[in-house]
Amino acid sequence: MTFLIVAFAGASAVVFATLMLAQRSLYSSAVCFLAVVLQAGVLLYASGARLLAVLLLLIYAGAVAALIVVAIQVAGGAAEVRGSRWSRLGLPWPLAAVGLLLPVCDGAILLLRAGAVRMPAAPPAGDLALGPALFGPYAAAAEAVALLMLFAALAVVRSPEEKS
Amino acid sequence: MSALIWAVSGLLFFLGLAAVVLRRQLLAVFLGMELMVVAAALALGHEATRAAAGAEGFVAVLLVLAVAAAEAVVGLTLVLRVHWSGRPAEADSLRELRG
Repeated sequence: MTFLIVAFAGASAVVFATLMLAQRSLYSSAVCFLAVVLQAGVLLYASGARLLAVLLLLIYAGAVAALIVVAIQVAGGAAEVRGSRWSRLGLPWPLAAVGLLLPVCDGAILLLRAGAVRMPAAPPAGDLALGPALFGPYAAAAEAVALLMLFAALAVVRSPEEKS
Repeated sequence: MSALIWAVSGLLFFLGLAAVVLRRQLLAVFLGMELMVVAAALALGHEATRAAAGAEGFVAVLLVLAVAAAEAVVGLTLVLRVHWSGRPAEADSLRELRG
């Protein structure tokens, strides 16, 4: 059963990645990208990397996808192909709905099948070892990445000279 | 199952690379880059669960995701700056550096 779900999630991820490449509308490409990320989360969960699956969904389906949509909206007509707006999605609406609902369905099947809706007795060993590793031998790397994210956030600030 | 996930990762990476090479809009190129990062994270995360001991693989995936998030902020800011400068946000419009 798990193999079937993995095969299904993998096939849908590849299909939506192909659609992302083929779509002319940036909004449609962003929706396809979101579908691929959701399926990748399901694949990671099925592999046993539960914490990584949650982090992938938080970072990509949450933060990065939202940033991409905001960037498309801010860039407006210059970045978007003329005539294709969110209200007239180049990707057919049923296909977009399928792309977003499929990962939810196969993720729910995985959760129900594994009994993970109930609180597990103990998290997997890899998840348990992640915290001590981040605050132990990899503390310097984690701090460096945190600093990198801070400087990246500063990149978006526009100086008064640039505004004028 | 491992071969299947590796195949999916490889295909996703290839499709992301194709988006980077074939698309002209900067945001579409950016989406292709992000797709490549997701493919790499998927392969790394899967291998991390197969490793005998330690959390090195998990830490590597976590750091890759964090760096990719920072890269997303910088990339999208660059796209927006190109747009604010009045040039079209397409790869063809960026041919030379200034300064």
